Formats: sequence, structure tokens, C-alpha cells
Amino acid sequence: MKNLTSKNISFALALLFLLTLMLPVTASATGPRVTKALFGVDKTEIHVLDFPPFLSNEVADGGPFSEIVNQALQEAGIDAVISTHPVQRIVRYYLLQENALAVMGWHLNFSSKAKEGLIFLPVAVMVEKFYYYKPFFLNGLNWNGKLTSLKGKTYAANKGEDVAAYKAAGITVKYARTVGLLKMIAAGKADFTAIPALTADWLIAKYMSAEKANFAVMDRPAGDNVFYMIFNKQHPQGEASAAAFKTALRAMVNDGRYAQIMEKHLGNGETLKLYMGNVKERLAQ
Amino acid sequence: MNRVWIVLLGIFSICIAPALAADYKTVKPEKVGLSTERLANMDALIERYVEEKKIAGAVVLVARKGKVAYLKATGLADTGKPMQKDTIFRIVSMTKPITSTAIMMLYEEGKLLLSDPVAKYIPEFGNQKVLVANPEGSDFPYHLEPVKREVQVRDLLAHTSGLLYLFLNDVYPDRGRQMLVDMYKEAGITDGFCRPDEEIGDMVKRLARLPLYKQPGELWDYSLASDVLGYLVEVVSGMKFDKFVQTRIFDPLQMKDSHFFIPEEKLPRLAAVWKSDWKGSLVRADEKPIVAGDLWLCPTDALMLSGKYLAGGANVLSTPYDYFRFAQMYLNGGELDGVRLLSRKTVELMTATNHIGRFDAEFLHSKGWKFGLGFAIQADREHPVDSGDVGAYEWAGIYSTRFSVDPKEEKITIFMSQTNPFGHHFELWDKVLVLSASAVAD
Repeated sequence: MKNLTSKNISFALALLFLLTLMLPVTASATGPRVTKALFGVDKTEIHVLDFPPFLSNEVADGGPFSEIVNQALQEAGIDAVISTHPVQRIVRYYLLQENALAVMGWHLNFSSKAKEGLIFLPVAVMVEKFYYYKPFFLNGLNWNGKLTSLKGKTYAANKGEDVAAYKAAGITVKYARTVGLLKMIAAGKADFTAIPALTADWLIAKYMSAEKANFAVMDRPAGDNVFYMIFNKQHPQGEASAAAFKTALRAMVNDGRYAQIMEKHLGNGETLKLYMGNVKERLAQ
Repeated sequence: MNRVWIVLLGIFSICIAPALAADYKTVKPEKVGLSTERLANMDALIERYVEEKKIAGAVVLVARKGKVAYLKATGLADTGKPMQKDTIFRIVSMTKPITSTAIMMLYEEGKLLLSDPVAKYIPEFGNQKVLVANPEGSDFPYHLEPVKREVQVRDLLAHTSGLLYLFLNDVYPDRGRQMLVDMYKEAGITDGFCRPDEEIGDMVKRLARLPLYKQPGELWDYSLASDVLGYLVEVVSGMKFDKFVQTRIFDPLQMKDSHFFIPEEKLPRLAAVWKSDWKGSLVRADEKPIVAGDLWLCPTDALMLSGKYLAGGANVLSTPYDYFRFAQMYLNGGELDGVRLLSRKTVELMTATNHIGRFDAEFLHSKGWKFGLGFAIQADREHPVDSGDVGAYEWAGIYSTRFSVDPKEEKITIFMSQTNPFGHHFELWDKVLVLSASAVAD
């Protein structure tokens, strides 16, 4: 019995030695013992550009748009997580190159051909305001509802923004990311820009607090802008998910839960009115 | 009578206090095996470069066996203001070894492991992608590939993370790098040489959500990694990075003139930055940023008395003597004057040459230099070297500051000027090291 055991051990050791020679050896002495990918649930990602305070990792519950979208996704039975990015081009990359299920955003400016493969569902209708930098306009700056009244000025536009109307009105256009728009007008490189008021307040407080008093808002709003959920028809579940999401979001708007979430984040005052545009009507279109 | 003497002594003490601050203790070179006569060559070398208007001025320090044997200020610190031994310099990237020290102190306290994924502490580093340029003429310029493994703390220390510096875009032209640098710019990422009006954590969280340039561990590329480490110190320690460095490193080592933001009373001691063509045209930099391609430098940011941005890769102001104390701590195996910041084993780990595998730390040096966990280390003599021993470690700052620690000779050499552009001074630094080595006389 003892001899048999020794033989077995010798055989096992020899086998182990051979296996060691056959199996590839990693050169990495240290490294993650466990990666999240091994045990994580493979959820679908929905990509979006940071849009504080409406959709950002830096605000409670990701902000009102994040909470609304997450709830609608859940009710639609779509197992997805929202992934925020600091640059728009990454959002477009995931949608158009990796056929992501969906992205969210505004000013995405897709080509006509790209639009044919996309389903746009409005998540929020926001009022934008024109901002300018007071030290450069000591007598103020305003417009009369026609962009031609700002002819000769320079407009700081979001990358991807449709600026045809500005150019047609004789306004020069320069581009930047959102905080860059404010920096551009503060540096005198552009005269005005259009941003939702809460986003402007948030960015100024975070990045340009010392200059807060120098920013001013034109009396007349710049107009409405729509924040969209954009489903991808190229994705196998794209069209079905879009339909389910639309039904869920419409139900939330109709039964008041949409308004409740907005109120939770934005309060029940004048500010709320700026971001409670007619989503119901837009969803019906 | 006694009272009169006490009062006079008090007045005398107050009067000479500023002078004493700069009265650094030095020893006769022969006491530490250096030659006074040979060190005099250093005087002549620096004076010649000042006379030729290649640099406005400099402070050079040579220490051996724990003692400063040579400390000389030459030329101008600013217009009409002579360079002094206690002149304060923007040491920029010489901040990085200080940041590495902070991380290794936390490592020694069991607060983190070098093999930990950074995402364990900064979740934005999870699920990263690598940007891969598509062949020219493709419909889309790049695609993203998942990382084979996550960026680890050691990658940040050794610059193998796949992160970039924007300014090296001009040094290493490459389509993929250019695409990524464009993304960095769009996301408001800067090299931190001009202080942005935001917290370092805000920058790091954006940076982490952009693609990497290469797979972690599959390149050596000098980068913003030390800035990430500075924020990691905040996350792991629960302290602001400058507070951690002040209380855990500067105070214990008595680095009294090292700061993230200069105290107002020390402003007169801050050197100006000078732009030199190395051919005799030497101009004091004005308040405008110095821009060269993707390199942005803001010399006047050093005048800021306070601010939000704490770059672990760039923001410290210091003096040659203070930095000598920091370097001597390393040379002593982690302690100075009875204060231990790191263990000998950790210093050995940091200065080992096998952290970056087959890669060379080719930024300040040619081949033959490796990178440890905070320094470049001379690994062999097979490549162009003018002086120094295998095992010597060093780093630099972009306004032309340098340090070298030679463990074999127990020697530290520090050179500080404030000269732009950075590349010109390399030959001068090599000569400083040659003269420092050739002064060894035992």
C-alpha cells in the first residue's frame, strides 16, 4: 500500500510537471487577482456626455434626467447602465461605431444618413438662456427675438450644435465644450453663448467662482432645446427597446412621476418651469 | 544690566533671523572625501554659462556622506536681484518623487497595494478602453479596445499606465497620440503646468473616463500619472494632498521652504523664469503663458498664494537645500535626522531597475536608463553616459531643475535654474554631474 501511494505521488508530480511545461506562464508577478469583468453582470451601456446638474456622476442620484431615464429603463425591462463621458466624440463613437443600444444628449448633430438609423425620444425640453460677460458690455447685451439683432457678434457654440441660423444671421461661430463656452466669453473670444441656466450656474460655481458676478443673462430666452434618448436601429434590440422605453416614459409623464422626480431635484419654483417643457406633446409626435 | 543684555540679544536675534534662514550648514569638502580645488571647477562652469547669457543664474549643491560640501549661488534670480542660496524655484516635475513618497508611505501603512487596480479607489478607472488608430483612409479614425488588465497603482508610479502628457505630443508624433491629445483638450485636461481653477479630483475623474493610449504595462510613457497619484493620496488618506505632504513629508524633514502655494512673505525669494536661446539671448519671461506646441507653462502661477489645483506631478516650489534633505532621506534608506518616512526595503523597491521590463525610460536620457517607482535609474554603462554610477537615480523639472542621488558614492547633486526651454540645459547638467563626480577624492 505504501509503495502504491509513493508511485501515485510520483505519477502525479510527473503529470503536474508536464502540465506546468505545457501551460502558458504569465510574466506578470503581481496584478489584479480578480477582475470585475469575471463576475460582473454584462449590462448594456447607454452613453451620454456629462451634463451637470441634469446628468452627472457628481450630483445626487446622477441628476434628474438620469433618475428619470433609469426608472423608465427599469419599467421597460431594459437592463442597462448609463455611462457618462467627458467628450461628445466618445458618445458618438459608441453609437455609430460600436452600435450601442442607445445614447443620450443634445447638440449631437447627426448626418441625415445617420438619423435614418436612429430613433429620437425626448426626455426633457429645456429653456436655454444667452449668457454674456458684463465687463465687455458695460451697457448690457440683449436681443429682440431675431438673431439678426446680434449680427456681427461671435457666438460660442457647443460642438455638434446646429448653428445654421446663427451663421445666416451674420453671427460668427466658435466651438468649445460647455465649460469652454463660458471661458471663451470671459476671455473675450466670443460675445455670447446659450446654456441652460442651471448648467451655467453649476459650471460657474465649480470652475469660475471668482468671476460669477461678471456673467449676465439676456432677458429674452434663447429658445427651447430638447434632451433626447436616442435608440439605435442597428442594435438587435434597438427598435423594441425604443418602443418599450417610450411607453414607460409616457406613463411616467402621464401619472406625475416624471414631474415628481424633476421637483425632487429642481424644487417647485420658477426654475422647474425652465425644464418642464412639453415632453408629453413631443413624445406624441 | 542683565535685562539690557537680554533685550539686546532679542533684538539681535530678530534682526539676523532672515539671514540665518539661508545660513545652511556646509562642511569642508575634504571632510567628506571631495576636493575643494576640483569643486572650484563648478564655479567656473556656472559662471561661464551665466557670462554667455545661456542662463541668468543657478544654485548648485553637492553633498556627500550626508553633508553639504558645495552650495553656490551664481548670477541673477530676477532682474536686479542676485541668486541666493535660499532662492525658491518652481521644481515642477521634481514634485513627482515627493508624490511617490506619499503613496509609498500609505503603502507601508497597509492602506494600499502597488498591485491594486486604481479603480478600487477611483471608480472612474474601471472598465477603461484603449484607443487604437485605424489604418489611414478608414471610415472612422480609431476604435476602442478593452484593457487587458486594469491600471494598477504601480503603473502610475512607473509611468506604464497608458496615460499621456499633452506636451509630449510634439516629441513623439503619432496619429493615435494626436487623437487622444485632441480628446484630452476637448475634455479640459491640461498638463497642470498652468494651474486650472478646479480640484485635482475633477480633472482625474475626467481623465480616467477617456481612453488610454496603450494597454497598461505595455509601454513606458511619461504622463499625468503623478497627478493621479496626488489625488489617490487624498482618497486613501482622507487628507487634502498638500496637507498630507506638508504634515507627513515637509515638516518631518524640515523642508521649511517647500510649498504648493508660496507664503506671501517668501515671494521676494521666488526666482523669475528666463527664456534662453542658449546662444546669448536671455529674456525674463513676462506674465503671459509660454506656449510651444502643446506645452503650456505659466511661470506667474507660482505667485499664487492659494488655489484649488494640487498637481502631484508639477506644483511644488522648493530650494536646493530643502530638496537635498528630501534626497538625503532616500540616500539614507528612508530616514533623516532620526525621522523615518520609509523603510530601507521600500527605498530599495522604488529604486530597483526591473519595474518597466524591456522598456527604457527614454525621456531625459537615452537607453540604459530604467524607471523605478518615482525616479529614473541608471541601469548600465553600455549606452552614452558621461558620469555617475549604475544605480544612480535622478529626475528633473521643466524649468531646468535637476537632482541626482548616487548611492555608491553617497553623493547628491542638485542644480536649479529657471530657464526655458527645458531641453537646452541638458548638456550643462551633464557637465555638472561630471564635475560633481570628478570632485570625489577618496
